[in-house]
Amino acid sequence: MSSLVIPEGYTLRTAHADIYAELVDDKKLFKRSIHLFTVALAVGAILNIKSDQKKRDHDLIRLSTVTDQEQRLVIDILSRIVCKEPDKIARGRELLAYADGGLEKIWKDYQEVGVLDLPRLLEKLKGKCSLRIAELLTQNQPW
Amino acid sequence: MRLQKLVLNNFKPFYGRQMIDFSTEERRPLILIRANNDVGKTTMFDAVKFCLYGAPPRIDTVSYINRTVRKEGEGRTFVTLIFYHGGKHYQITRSIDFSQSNGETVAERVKLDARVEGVPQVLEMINEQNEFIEAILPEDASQFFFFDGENIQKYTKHPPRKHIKDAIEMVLGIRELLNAKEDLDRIQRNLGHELDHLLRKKARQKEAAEEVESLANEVDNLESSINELDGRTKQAEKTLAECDKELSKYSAIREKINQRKQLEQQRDQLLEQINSNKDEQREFNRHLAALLLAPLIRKLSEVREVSIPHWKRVTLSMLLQDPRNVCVCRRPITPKIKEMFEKTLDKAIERSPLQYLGEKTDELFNEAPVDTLEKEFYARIAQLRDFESNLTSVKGAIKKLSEEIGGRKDLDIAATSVEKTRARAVEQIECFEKEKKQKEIQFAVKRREHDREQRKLALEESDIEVTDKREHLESCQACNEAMEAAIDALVEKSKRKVEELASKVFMKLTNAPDLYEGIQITPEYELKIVTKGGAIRPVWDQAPSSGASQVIATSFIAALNRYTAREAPVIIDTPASRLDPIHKANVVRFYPEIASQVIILYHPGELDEKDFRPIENYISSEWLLKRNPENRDATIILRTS
Repeated sequence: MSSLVIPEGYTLRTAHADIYAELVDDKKLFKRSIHLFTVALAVGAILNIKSDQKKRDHDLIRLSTVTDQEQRLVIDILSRIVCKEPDKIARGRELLAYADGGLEKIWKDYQEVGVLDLPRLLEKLKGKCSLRIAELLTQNQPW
Repeated sequence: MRLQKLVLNNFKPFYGRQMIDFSTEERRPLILIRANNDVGKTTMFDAVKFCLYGAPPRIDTVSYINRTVRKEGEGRTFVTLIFYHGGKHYQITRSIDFSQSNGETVAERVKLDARVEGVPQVLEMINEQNEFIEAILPEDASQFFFFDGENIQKYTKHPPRKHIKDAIEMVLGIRELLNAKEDLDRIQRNLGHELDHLLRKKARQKEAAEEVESLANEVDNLESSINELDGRTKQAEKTLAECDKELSKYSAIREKINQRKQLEQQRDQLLEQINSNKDEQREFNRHLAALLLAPLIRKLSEVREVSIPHWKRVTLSMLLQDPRNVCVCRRPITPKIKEMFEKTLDKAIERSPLQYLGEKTDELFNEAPVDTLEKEFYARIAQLRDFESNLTSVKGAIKKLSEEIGGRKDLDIAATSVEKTRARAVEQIECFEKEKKQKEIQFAVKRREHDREQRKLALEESDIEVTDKREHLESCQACNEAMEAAIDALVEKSKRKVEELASKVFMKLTNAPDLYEGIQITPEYELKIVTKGGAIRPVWDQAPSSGASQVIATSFIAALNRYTAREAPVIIDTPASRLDPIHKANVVRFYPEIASQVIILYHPGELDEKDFRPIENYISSEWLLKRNPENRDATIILRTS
């Protein structure tokens, strides 16, 4: 139980390199891509949005090199809660689909409002959270 | 003079016919006209002056014609002023006919049409027109009725210039007396010449008579030189006044530039704070995922508590190890039940996924304490909103000031050039005055010499005709001297009266009535402040702010206005832009007292509804000048209350 449910050597990827470039490199809203990744993953997990993008060819970071304990914990917790695939690699893909799903939602809001309205996002997620938590915690996980 | 209406037709930004009603109700002397800068506030002020006194010298009258109408071809621009004066109805129209020639607008001569009680007046000659208007309100005196709040500070400038003396002489009617004295001088001079001529004709001592006449010519030449110097001095003074006016404009712009600089510093500081806030937010955003997961983290902490407890694990383990295979409830433990116990125990020993998650969320909670993070997050967001809101107001104020300042990048160069011209004019005035003094001494010496020689010859001559002429001349001289003494006495008396009135007004307007006693006008016509301790200091020595200067100048103008005892409206353009809140409140409260009809042209930046609240019962009507939404080059007049 102590190891991750996705391979340690797994590379976190995205289908939306342009969004990462805009929010992290240009607008400098996040210091590192992994910070946006975990936020996007949290949004995707709570709102239950999975991206239907098939090809994720932009590497963000190899999981084994994520040293920030907080980010590792978020990935660990969420992967254990949302990923249902029996295979570790497949669970990794599932995790990335949630992260990109959350990212697409963040990007849509960002384009509508013109800014990353974090308080609005936080409130929105709080509203959805209670139902989703009950749903997530009653599911049988393969791990 | 009581204004009724002002009609503007194609005059500057007023396209087509625009009218404003100046009639006032009993005990409500105020008319307020609000307009943003560059909409037509000063134009309306200038229109009244143009209608009465025509275009100032060196003004291209084409500039009075509305730009849109200029493109339409030929036409007419006019300003009509309708008013009552001396119980009669007056309608005065000053117009400019214009046409196009070679693609350029050509303005014809400015025409004046005046009607009294509906009867057209025959005023063909410029002199006739001037006399007609001067009888209503002399142009010179109009400066105490129609004035720009920003330009009246010339009265407080150092060194004391002729403005104060001229102003006092003018309103007291001393100008007329001085004109009469000038006439008397001329008569005296002519009598002198006639006597010289008579003596030369009749004198037995021909040589002495010729000498007297030659002295008389010298005296005349010296007088012409003095008059010429006076003319040149006057011209230099006019240049000086224009320079002062221009410098005062620059000074107002400079003040605005300084204000803008301060606001720009404030803006930069806010931008820095916003950037710093954003940097902190960026740093903070590494905890954002934990914050978003806060409700989940809390829930996981709760569910962990319900995982298999320790006592249950111990009991199951003991039962499985017991060879009797009997449960605590005394029922036998079948193989099926045994298998179920083993599975439960296995899960408990392995730790349940929920327990694992619970532990992980505890770890995450330690890494990122969400309650603290949430507070920190909202505090930072609130701070950012404050900064951004302040930034918006500061940027708005900068934009407004920039519009008022306009594109004057070469302000210092222009100001330096005007200062040079001013310095040259001051130098010229000093030089002309010095030369004039010398000429006056020579003139006095020659005149005395001439008069002595003339008297000597006339006494020697026994001819009756000569005696008569001599006696006539002597009575003229006595009369002239008496008049000079009378004027001096009148000036002194009137000066005291103006001083008294100005002091009264000043004490009402000043923001420090405990410090001051009033205003004094010195024999050199310098305005001085009298303090409570009895000290008398020149205004410029008090180093007053531009607002305080404006209050002192307003007091002086109000005193002259009252002293004229003329029934005329007061029109004030930009009344309070340089005043601090206390001065502003005092000046605003004073407006209903200044005249029986007071028209205030102001921009929203200097006065607002709150400032007018103490005098709202004195307001007859309020107007707004604004750009026509359908034609941005045209201003329209709207009555707002």
